[in-house]
Amino acid sequence: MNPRKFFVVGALALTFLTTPSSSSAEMLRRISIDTLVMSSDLGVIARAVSADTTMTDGQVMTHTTFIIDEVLFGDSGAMVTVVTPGGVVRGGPIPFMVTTDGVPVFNADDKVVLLLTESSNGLHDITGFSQGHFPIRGEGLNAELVVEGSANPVPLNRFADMIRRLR
Amino acid sequence: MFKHVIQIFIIVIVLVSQAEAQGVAGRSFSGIQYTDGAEPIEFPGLPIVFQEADRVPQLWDKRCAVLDYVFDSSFVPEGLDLDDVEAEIMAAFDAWNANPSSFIQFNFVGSQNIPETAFAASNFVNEISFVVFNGSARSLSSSFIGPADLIAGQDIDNDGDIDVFAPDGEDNNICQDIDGDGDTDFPAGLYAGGAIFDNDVVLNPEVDWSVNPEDGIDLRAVITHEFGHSHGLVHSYINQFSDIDSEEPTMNPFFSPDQASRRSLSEDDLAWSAYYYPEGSENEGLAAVQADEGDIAFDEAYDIIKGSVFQGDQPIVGAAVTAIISDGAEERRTVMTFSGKNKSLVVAGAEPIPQGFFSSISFPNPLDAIVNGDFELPVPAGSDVTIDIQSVDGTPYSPGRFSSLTGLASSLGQNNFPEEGYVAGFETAVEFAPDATSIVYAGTPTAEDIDFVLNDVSVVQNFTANPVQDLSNIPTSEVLVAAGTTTLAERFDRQAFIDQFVQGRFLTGTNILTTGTEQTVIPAFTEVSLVTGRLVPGSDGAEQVEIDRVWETNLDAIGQSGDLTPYTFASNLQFNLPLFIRLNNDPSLDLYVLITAEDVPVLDQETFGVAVQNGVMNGTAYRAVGGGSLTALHMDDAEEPDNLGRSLLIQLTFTQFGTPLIAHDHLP
Repeated sequence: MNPRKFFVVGALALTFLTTPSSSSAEMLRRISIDTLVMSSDLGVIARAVSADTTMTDGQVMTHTTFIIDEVLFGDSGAMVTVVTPGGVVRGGPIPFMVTTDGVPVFNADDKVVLLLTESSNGLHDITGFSQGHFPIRGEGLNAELVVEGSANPVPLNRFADMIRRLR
Repeated sequence: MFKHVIQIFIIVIVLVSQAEAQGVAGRSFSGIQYTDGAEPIEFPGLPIVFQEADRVPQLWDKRCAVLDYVFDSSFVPEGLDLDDVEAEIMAAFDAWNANPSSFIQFNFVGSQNIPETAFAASNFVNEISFVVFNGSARSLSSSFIGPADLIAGQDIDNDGDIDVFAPDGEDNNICQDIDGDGDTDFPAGLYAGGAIFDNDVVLNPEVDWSVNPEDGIDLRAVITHEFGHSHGLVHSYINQFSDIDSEEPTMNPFFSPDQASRRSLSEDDLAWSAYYYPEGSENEGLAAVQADEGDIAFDEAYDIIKGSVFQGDQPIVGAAVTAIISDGAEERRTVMTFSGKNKSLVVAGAEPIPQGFFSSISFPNPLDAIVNGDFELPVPAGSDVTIDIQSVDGTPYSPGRFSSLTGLASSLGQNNFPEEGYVAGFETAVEFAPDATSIVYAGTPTAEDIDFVLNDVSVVQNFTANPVQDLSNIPTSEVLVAAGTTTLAERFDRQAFIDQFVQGRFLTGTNILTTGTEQTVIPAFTEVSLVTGRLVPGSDGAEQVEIDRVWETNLDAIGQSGDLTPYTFASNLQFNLPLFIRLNNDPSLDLYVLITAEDVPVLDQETFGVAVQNGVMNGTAYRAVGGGSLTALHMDDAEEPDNLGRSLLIQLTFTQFGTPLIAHDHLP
C-alpha cells in the first residue's frame, strides 16, 4: 500500500501538535489570577516549537519547548522548556500513552500565555498546574488576539497589560 | 439577507443494547485506537509517518477491572499515620465499590516500602504514594495505543519478566499476578486502544492533609476524586446541583469548601462508573449480575438519552449536556457529559519518535478532527428528565480542565454559545423560548435523537472585554448584595436593542455573571426583570433610574456557582415589537436588567454569599437598597476601563428571527 501523502503549504513543523497526553487527573485549588502572577517566576507570551517525551524510572514526562515572543515579567532567554506529566511512549514492544486529566495540550506553533515556576535544571512548571496556561486563539496583525479560559475572550494586549500590572 | 431554516427532529423511543452505550467517550479520558483501514500518511521531508486514529474511551478492559492497589509506605507526611492513610484509602475504595450497577472493583492489598516504583507508569503495579510534585493530587493512567495484540510469553516493558500468559479457560482469562512476582500479568489476546494497564495515584506531602475535613485538606475526599480518574473518568461540569443545593459531584475539578460532601458519590459519579463498567453486560464473570452481592443490572438502574449537537450541519464537540431531573419543587442537575467524538493523526508504528517531534499532527483542515457531535446520558430509570447544553467557555470552568473534546472545541472556537434547553418539536436554530421545558425521557429505556441545534443568537453585553473571572478573589467590600432587599440594575443603551431588532433579532433572554455562591449559601434571586427606564436627577442631584415599565419578571431565579446563568424571557414574542416602538419613540429611555435579592448574608471572603459584583463602567450600574432609589454605583476601581478581574457580566441574547423587520433607512 502506498502511503497517502499530504502536501501542506507552509512550514510543516508548524502543524505538529502533542497527542493530548492531556487530561491530568488533578484536583485543583482554585487560584486567583493575582495569586498566579505573584507566585510565578516567569510570565511569557510564547510559541510551542518542539516536544520530547521521556520515561525515567518509570516516570513519563513531556518537555515542550517554546520560543518566547514577549517576556511579561521575570528573566528568561529566547526559549523556555515546560515540563508536564504524561505523554506517548514508543520504542518498546507495545506503544502506550500516559494521561493525566487537565494537563495542557500544546500544539506546535500554539501561541500561549504561560505563568511559570522554575523547577530544576532551568526547566519550568506551569504555575497552579494547568491554571497558569492561557491559550491564545487568532492570528495576524489585524486580527484580534484573544486569551481563552474566561467567559469571554479578551484581547491579548489587554490581558498582558493586566498581568504586568498585577506583578 | 437572513436565512431562516427550521429543522425538525423526531423523537424515537427504542431500546438499545448496553454494548453500544459504552462506545461514547464523553466522560472518559480518550485513548488512541488506530482507525481500521486507515492508510499511512507521509509528509514530504519528514522522517515519520502518521496514521489516523480514533479517540476512544480510556478504560480498564473487562479482564482487568479488579484493580489491586499498594500504598507506598516509605513516606507518610507529618500529621498522618499509616493506619489513618490505609483507612482512608479503603473508605474511598468502598465508596466506588458500593455502586451496585458498576462492576469495577478496587482492592487495597496493603502497604509496602517501594519508593523506587512510585509513579512508575508501566510496571503493572498500581501504587498510591506521597511524592513532592507540582500539584496536590494526581492520577496517572497508562493505556495501550491500540489495537494491542498481546502474545503469550511477551515482555511488554522490556524488564526481563514475562508479562503475558496464555489463559487456559475463562476462569483464568483475567489479569492476575500469575507468576507471583508482585505485578499484574495479562492474559494473551487483543486489547483495544485506550485499555488502561497501570494506574498510580500520587499525593503531594506538602499539602496540609487531614483525615478530618475540618482540620485541613480532606484526604478521603481528594482520593475518592482521584480514584474516579483511576476508572478513566474525567471531570464533571456540574457546578451546583440545584437552586437549593450548591454542592457538586465528587468529580468536580476543584476543591470544595464543604469537603466532607465529596466523600460521598453523587448520581453523576455513580452513573458514569456504571455506564463504563455496567453490571449485567456479561452473563458470566465480573460483569455478570451477582444478585447475592447486591448487584443491580445497569439496564435496570439506568436508561440512556442519546442525541447530537449541531450548529447548522456542523457537529459540535465538547458541549456540556446535562440531565435535569425534577423532583417535586427541586430541579436537580443530575448527570452530565460532553458531546462529540474526535480523531487525531498520530505517529504510526511502534518506533521511537525522533527528538523534537510532537507525537501527533493536526489535520490540514482542523474541522476534520470532528467525527460527530453525539452524546449519551445515563439517567436514573423512571424519572422525568429535561436536558440543557452549555458551552465550556470558562464559566464556571475552562475547557482545559476536562477532556480532549473540550480542548478541541476551544481550539476551533466552538464553545462560545449561550446555554439553552432542549425544546421538543421545536429544536431549531430559531428558538424563541430556549428553555429546558421539554421532558425528553420518562421511564422509557432509551430516548434517541434528542438532537440539539444551537440557537442562532447574537449577544449584547454590558462591556466588551470581560477578563478572567475568579470567584476566589472577590473582596468582601465588593459583595453588593447584602441583608435586606437589594436590587441591582445594569443599563443597556436603547440603541443596542434597536440595532438588533431592525436586523430581525428578538430579545429572548439574559445571561448573568456572577450570580453564584461558593457552597453554604443557597443562591436566591427573588426576581430578574427586564424594564425600560430613564435617568433622572435625584433629590441630592445625583442620577438615579426612574423605571418606566416592567416588560417581564422571572421569579425565584437560580444562581449557579460562578456560572453565566441564563434567564429566558418567555413572553418575548409579545413584548419585542412594543418594546422597540417604545425605545425608538422615546430617546430618554434605555433598557435595564434588574436583579433583586433578599436577606443575603454578607460572608467572609472565602464563603461569600450572592456575590454580584460591579465596577465596570460608571454610569451603567445602579443599586437600590431596602426599596430605595436605584442610584449609580461608583466602585473604587471604576476609573479603570478594563477593570480586569472584577466585574458583573450581563448579556442580552437576541435570537435571529429572519428578514430584517425594519430597514435602517426608515429609522429617525
